Amino acid sequence: MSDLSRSSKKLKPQLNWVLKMAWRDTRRSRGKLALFAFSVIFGVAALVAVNSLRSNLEAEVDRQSKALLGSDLEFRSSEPFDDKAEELFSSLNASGEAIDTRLSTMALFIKSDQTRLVSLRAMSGGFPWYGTLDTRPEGLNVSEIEGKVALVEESLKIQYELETGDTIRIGDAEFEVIGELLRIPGESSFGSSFSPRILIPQIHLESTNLLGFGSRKTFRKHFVFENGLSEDLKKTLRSKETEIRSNGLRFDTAEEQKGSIGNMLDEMTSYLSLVGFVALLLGGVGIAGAMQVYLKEKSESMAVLRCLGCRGQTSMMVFCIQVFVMGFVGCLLGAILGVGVQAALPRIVQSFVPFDLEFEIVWPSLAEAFAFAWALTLLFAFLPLLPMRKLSPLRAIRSSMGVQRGRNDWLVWLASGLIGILTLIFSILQTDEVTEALGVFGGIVVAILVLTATGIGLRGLLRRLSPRTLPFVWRQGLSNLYRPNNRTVSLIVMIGMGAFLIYTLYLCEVSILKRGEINDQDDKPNTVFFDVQSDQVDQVKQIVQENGSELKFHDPMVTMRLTHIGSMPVSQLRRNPDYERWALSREYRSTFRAELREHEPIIEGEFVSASSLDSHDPIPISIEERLVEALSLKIGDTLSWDVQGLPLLTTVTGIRKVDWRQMQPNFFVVFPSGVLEGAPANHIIAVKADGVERIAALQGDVVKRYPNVSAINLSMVLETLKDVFEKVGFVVRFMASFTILTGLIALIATVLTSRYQRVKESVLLRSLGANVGQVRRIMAIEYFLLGGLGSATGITLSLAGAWAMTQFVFKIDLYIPWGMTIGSIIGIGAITLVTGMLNSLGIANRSPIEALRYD
Amino acid sequence: MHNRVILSLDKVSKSFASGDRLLEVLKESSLEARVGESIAIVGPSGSGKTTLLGICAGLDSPTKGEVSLNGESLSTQTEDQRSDIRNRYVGFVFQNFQLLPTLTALENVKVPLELRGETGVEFAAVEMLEKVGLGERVHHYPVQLSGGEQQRVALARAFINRPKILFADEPTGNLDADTSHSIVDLLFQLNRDAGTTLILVTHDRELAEKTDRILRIDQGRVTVER
Repeated sequence: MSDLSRSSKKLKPQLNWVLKMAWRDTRRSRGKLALFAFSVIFGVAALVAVNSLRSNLEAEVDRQSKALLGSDLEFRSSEPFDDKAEELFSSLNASGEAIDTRLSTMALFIKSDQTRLVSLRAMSGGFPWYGTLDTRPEGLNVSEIEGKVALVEESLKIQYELETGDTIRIGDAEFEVIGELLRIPGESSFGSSFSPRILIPQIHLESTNLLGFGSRKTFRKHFVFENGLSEDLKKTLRSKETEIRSNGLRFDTAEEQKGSIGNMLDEMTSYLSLVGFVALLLGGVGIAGAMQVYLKEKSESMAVLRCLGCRGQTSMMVFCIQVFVMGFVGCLLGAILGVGVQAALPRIVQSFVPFDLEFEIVWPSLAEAFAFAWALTLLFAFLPLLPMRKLSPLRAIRSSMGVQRGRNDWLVWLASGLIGILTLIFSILQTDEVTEALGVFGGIVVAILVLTATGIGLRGLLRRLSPRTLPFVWRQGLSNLYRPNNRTVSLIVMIGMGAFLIYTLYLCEVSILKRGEINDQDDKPNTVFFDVQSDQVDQVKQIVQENGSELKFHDPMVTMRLTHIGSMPVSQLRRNPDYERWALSREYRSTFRAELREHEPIIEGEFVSASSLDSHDPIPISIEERLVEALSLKIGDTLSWDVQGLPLLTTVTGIRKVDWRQMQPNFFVVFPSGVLEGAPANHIIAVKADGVERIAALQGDVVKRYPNVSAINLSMVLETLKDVFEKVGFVVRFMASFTILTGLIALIATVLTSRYQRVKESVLLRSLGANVGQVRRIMAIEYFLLGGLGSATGITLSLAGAWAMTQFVFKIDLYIPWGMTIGSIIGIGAITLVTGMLNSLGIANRSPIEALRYD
Repeated sequence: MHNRVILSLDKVSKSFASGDRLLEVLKESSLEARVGESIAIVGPSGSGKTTLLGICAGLDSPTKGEVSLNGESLSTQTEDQRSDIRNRYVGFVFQNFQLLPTLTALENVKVPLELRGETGVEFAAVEMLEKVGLGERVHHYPVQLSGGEQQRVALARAFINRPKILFADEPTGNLDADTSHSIVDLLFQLNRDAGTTLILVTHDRELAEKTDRILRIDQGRVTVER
């Protein structure tokens, strides 16, 4: 062994020196390292908050899985249970059973003489066996009381100033209020916003005389078993599911309830996770930028260390340790902030979940988000760091010696590949669907490619045009974009990616919120009566007229079920993923008319206004576009219906687009006139009444005379909806603000990376006689063009990205606020310009020689 | 001065790609430096002086030819092995001082020893700084020192690991005349005390005249001037 090899061993990197050097080396660069840490804080915070919230929700769903249903098994039907159903129930050998009949009806509050649509629950038996019925005073359960008593939803008690002992009339019966209902296991308060719940004993339901009318009723029966629901019974029920369904029965187990609540929560949190992820990716862009600035400053020191005998890997370790530590600090601060946000989130989302949500730090989830964020942070930081290991020590004596460009470095490609893989894995975990994840991932890759092509294109175009006739300042500013060492492509990609990611999210957000926005127009109806029987229609219209209100619409409504699509029975299509289950099994309330309304235009085919049962051809019907998608329909397809026992063959002749935001009766299926007139129908009558008092009087007049008729005060619904959407909007915007903050930091870091290219040039120009104004204008032209083009390309891409997201992920219409879109392009261009100018303030103000020395 | 050769270059060539053509900066140049000898490399700008210095010090590899330092062939070493050689045998003084801006004068001087894994080097570093007249400025950062003081720190750093050979690239290039004289005196004094071989690249004729030999480089070829 030679002397040298022996000494090489001694020269192995001394860890304590590396640690010491890593610390010493930060002395003059802590601001830049702080920018590095700042880039990740908000992304990590968003991710930790959402992931922990998701884990909180999942843990709570698991903990309360049985309480989510309140029993082991629940059957429901829209018709009273017949003998066949009772036979099935008795074969279950349950240890306990309970009845819960639900119907939407009007309640009259005697003391204030006001009426309100409510969800009536007539209960008997021991429900709930799991979880508790929260009431005030505690421990009330109408099932155990024989008198005519009612438990009313807390919101009703407040709204109508009800007190214990007050009387409410439901149908033909009166009930005494004995307390407030706070919570029923498995139900969220959000669900009862529109139709507050009133619980009465089952034995008194008959006396309301509401069961005989065509109001919306659901009959439910809950069962509990000594040792829970056995696997055998579950299997038996599954095997008989088609038969059970054909008898008009549906059933749910606690497990299924848990699954469906889990799905709902998944949908709610997946958007928020996406927000966190986007913030993290943007943070990555910021990290890469901040690191590049930092290393640019360090490259000479690194070369000197190499001259002094420091090995490449040792000098790399100095910076790696800094990156590890700063990444860790950034992620740690982000995680702490995320836990703080997580503590606030339960309060914000509480009304959407059917259980009390407690704040709890979920360590595995926090660790997972932390590890993921840290890994991504390190990989982004390594992109500019890795080529530094090949930095030649010659740079110490020859400053023109650069670093080998990343594109030739396999390790840089590996880091980029790992970022891609991590992004893909995360997308799959968030969306639970490989195709959607590939879509998100593909979208990001396409955006990067388009932005790169735009940058290269701009460079080539300017080089070719080389505008010689322009004034010096313009010529210089434009030439900077294609001269050697320009950062045109990288800045356009970074600015463009920021704009693309943030604006795609924003467009998704406004499209989601727009969907819930209700059109409240003066000439539209504000009160709707439903469950009006055919023989009551004329009298109700008479009351409307006497009240001085205006009749807007009258729609008959016939209930029916879909039996076949083409020749395929729906029972066979349920397991086919091309058909959405809700559309196959729902009870349709269809109308018939000779004409369509303004808000439901035909977008394909035609609307046939009249037909006849005597015709031998299938009846031509018009279908709403969402249902067309849910049932994979096209013009000419045939659908068979069971119209209250009578089969009816129809064909799709028209597809309608319905604006569901219009507060008026909307229908999935519209029949032509001349077909359903003879079928038993309920009617909806929509009225425009002026003023709150007139609405209240009209509701009171109709309901007192026809207790089976229910009324909805649309103004009140509108208020409730606005309140709900304000809450949703707040959550979404709150999380999106994290992305915007990170985006700003990334932008600053990105613009900082260009500083070094311009400082020397600017200073040289000044030493050649250019004044501060000229230097600033040159920089302004460059930054404005980069910012403007980057944001214009990014935002244009975001239109495509948001279209894909709304179309395939959220399944809603894309809404583009054009004013905001153009404003954002200008805004991001302006922010880039301002950031660039602020960043170069010091350069322009100092004397050339001072600036040259400093930099 | 001994007869032992510490540095030898045998028919060394170096070329760079410049656009589509190959630019030959060094053409089959040879030289030998003996232990304790001082050599100045002079030549016009762009003649390849810095390239030659980089190759001699193992900072760069030749395209053709052999380089050997203290008996070790640099041509066959990896970059990391060359780093080890630099740490053990080589000292550097740069035109723009190249102190690490985040380290104090004392910490800068300690770096070469710390890189070797040596501990308790503070005393030696302080002593070296006292030797160059900066005993009172040990905890100052480079920005707090004048150009001459920075070059003194650089000299202390270059000699702290008792190098066998010292490479100096225009050591007075960034200094005024008075400061230059004192730095040159210090450089030669330290060089004599340590018995180090000195290879310096300079435009300064007066400085070159102080060395044992002068090599001229012109159009990539090395010739002996004196």
